[in-house]
Amino acid sequence: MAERWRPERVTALAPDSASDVAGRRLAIPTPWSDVGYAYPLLWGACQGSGSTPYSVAVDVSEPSYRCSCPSRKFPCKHVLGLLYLWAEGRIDEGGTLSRFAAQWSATRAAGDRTDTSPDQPAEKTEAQLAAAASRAAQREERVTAGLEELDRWLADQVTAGLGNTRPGAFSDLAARMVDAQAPGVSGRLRDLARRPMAARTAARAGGAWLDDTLAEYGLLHLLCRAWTRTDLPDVLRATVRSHIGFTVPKETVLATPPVADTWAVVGMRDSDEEQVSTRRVWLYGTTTGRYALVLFFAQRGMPLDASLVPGSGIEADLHFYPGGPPLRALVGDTRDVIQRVRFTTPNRGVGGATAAWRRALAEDPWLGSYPCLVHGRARLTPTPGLVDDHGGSVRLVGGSMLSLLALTGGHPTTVFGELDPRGLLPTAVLTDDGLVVL
Amino acid sequence: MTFESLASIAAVGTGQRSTLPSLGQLSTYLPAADESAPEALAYELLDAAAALAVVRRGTPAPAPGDPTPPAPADTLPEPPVHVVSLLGPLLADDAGAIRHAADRAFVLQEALGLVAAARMRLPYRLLGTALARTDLRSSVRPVLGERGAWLLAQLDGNATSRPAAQAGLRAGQMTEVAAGVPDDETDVWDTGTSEERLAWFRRLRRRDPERARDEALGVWKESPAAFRAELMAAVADTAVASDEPFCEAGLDDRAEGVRVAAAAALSRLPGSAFVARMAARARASIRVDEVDPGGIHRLLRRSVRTLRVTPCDSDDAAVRDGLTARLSSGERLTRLVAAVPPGAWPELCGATAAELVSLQQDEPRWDLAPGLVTAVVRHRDADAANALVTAGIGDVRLVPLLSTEALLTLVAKVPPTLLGAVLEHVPLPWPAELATAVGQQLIGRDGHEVRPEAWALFARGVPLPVAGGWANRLRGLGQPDARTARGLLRDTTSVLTVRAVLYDELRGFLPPQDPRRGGRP
Repeated sequence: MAERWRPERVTALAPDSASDVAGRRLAIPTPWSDVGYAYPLLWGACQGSGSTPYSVAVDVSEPSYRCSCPSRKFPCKHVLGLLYLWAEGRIDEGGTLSRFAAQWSATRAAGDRTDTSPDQPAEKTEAQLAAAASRAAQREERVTAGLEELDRWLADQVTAGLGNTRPGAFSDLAARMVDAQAPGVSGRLRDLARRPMAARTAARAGGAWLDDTLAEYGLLHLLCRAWTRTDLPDVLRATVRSHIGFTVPKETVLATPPVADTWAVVGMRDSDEEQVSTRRVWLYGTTTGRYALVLFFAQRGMPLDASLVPGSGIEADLHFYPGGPPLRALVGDTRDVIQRVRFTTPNRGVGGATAAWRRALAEDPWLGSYPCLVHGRARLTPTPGLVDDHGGSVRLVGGSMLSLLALTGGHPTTVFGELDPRGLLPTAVLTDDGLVVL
Repeated sequence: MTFESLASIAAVGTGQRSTLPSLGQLSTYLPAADESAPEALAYELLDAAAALAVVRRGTPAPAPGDPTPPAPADTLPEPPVHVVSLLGPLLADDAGAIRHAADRAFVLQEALGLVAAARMRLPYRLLGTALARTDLRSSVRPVLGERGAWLLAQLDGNATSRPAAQAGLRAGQMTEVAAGVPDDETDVWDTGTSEERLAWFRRLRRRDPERARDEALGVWKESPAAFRAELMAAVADTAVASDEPFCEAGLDDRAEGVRVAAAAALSRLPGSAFVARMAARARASIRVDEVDPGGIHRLLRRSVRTLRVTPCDSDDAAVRDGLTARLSSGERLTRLVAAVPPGAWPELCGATAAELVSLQQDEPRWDLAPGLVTAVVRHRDADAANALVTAGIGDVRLVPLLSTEALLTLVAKVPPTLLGAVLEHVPLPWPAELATAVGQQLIGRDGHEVRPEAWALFARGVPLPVAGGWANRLRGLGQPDARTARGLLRDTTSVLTVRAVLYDELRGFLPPQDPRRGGRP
């Protein structure tokens, strides 16, 4: 029988926080009847607002799930509620398999037998290949024109003075960069547009807004210059293209040599942007000491991939996207999933983490943050920070500071996080009980 | 050239200048500027800004300061795993198993109390969430353990680690800080807002009534009428015998609010001259006569007691004591009766307070109940309160004073629509008998008439040892057809279930003397 899930894994499965909340609300025995569990099937009937209870079935090995309710959320709150009940140990092995679960299981088994491999790309004709090449060339022309316009705009702004920046200018330019098929540049401009107007006004005489805006202008200008260079090394060219927003097909990435390791999930962060939800999952290779970032995308409201559970580990091959430093990756062949991964780490201080961040910046000056581990003591006063054995310190940022302090009690611990100019955003901590994701 | 000096130039614009200051060694890394281009200076600045921005970003912000000693080891255990899994969403105020925020807040407070009584502490992973909620500080303090106390000390801005017990001693102070300011901070009394000053005064009044009254006297003359009325009301709530001269003087205040509050304060002092004056008026106004009604009563040699009420006049002395001519006769009577201690009635007219509301009256009938209830509540006279309920008075103000028996009487008499209003005043936890009576009403024939708040109060009021039993009983009712009823039933069952789970898990760890430990009825 497989190991029982932890509630955190159920949380990770929820398509959004509202569903998670609704699922937790159902994680009490009151509305449930005919529940049971026989690996890998978990089933139950949940009394909703109608007269007939909803039938729920979950295959915890994949996971996949089915509920008879009409919800468009997937998984729905009933599935989540049942999983929470099970994860909290309220459903033991046993019970009579419901008809619904039996039918669903049989249908899936039949479907598996007839399933063709959807991952196999269809063979393309010559005409299709020529059309694709033409589209690619057309896009490169648009990007070139768009970045020329952006660079001129940046020079105009610096000539006229940043204090005269027109409100809404960033949003307009971001829209033009979308037209120029440079979504990465557009995203950076939208970030600039999010800075509050009050901060801009206050910054006319100087201050953080001015410094940060000029820094971003400089980096955008550098990106424009890099795009025009034909003599860049392949790795740097790939980095530049990724920041502009060129994607690399999955098949191409999966064709790169795999990096095998037991990868610990040392951080996870979800965010919503317009109609797209993004999940960023940080992995740490427990043998190689490498880091990887796996991104999952979903239409807003739809569930994000929950195969990588915070605090767990996967024994798997990772395939890294081109560019330097190699960070973004796809999960290839997965051989095992370890519910609570245990490993040791080198005793690395703030200096080591900063040096790695600088090396990463040298390879990719547009990099926003870089994963790291720091062995040190967390403290809250006089400044929230992490102090290593040699007295080196880095400021702690983000909302998980209190949890980090509570878990470590100021004792020396290994902390995983994202390092950026503001400091360290802690994502996980290695405790005596194993890895705990914050 | 630093990044900041580049930013200063960029803020104004390179259009205002012909050259940039020397970039020094940095220029060797930058592309050569095309001086013929009109924006050459701008591009030169952007190149330099890009290089310096990368250098600048390469140094994450440090955290200067002396090291903090780590947290001492904890000795208290964590609660059982099911308790922790319920506490997590409750502390985070996630809907979890309980839908309404008010129910969650109640169950959380009860759960924290149980954990504290079981001599356990919050697990480390919940401490961050618990301490992030400043509204919970006083209730989580007993379950913080050493680690939590250490963390709280840092949050307070004091990096010195202190033992949990020592931090616990500061609980009262913390509550006061959260509510406003500590009592010994007289600056607030001198310079605070009206609200802060009143909060300070009320706290001091509870702790040191004489000093508080002296402070009030010190500012009395220059204080506006509304503030004086609030001060006098605070004195009335906590009146002591030595307040009498101050309150007596208040009867002559030019503000009506002060005069009314002063009368209320004096009526709480049974030995005061004010009470004596009002008692004398009551003796003159309210009389119980034995009359010969004739007929069957004469044959049985039985007389009938009749209440005779003569509303008092509004002479100058009566006006000073609050019985003004502007009030109706009934209102004056209510004020008069409210000012008489309930225990004084047998001596004044030969009948108890409860008998006064039951006696026969000639027309017009005078309603003494409002005044009597006010007096009973002012003097916290539980016997009189029970007797009034037995006599048929269903005033909710009496509820906190009632015995279980009287409460059951009241609950049985009150219409279903008013059940919630009564239960709202019953202190928690309820007696098991009351829970049974209310539960039976809720699931009985008239249950649909009971307002929703009665269901919520029932879910909170049921004593812990029987919460599980009631949850099962409600669950066994099935699903009512009406949507509202289904929701009420589900929410009540959820609260009872969570309370029962918490209790079942922690009951065995409660000390023998804890009343909650008792066996299931």
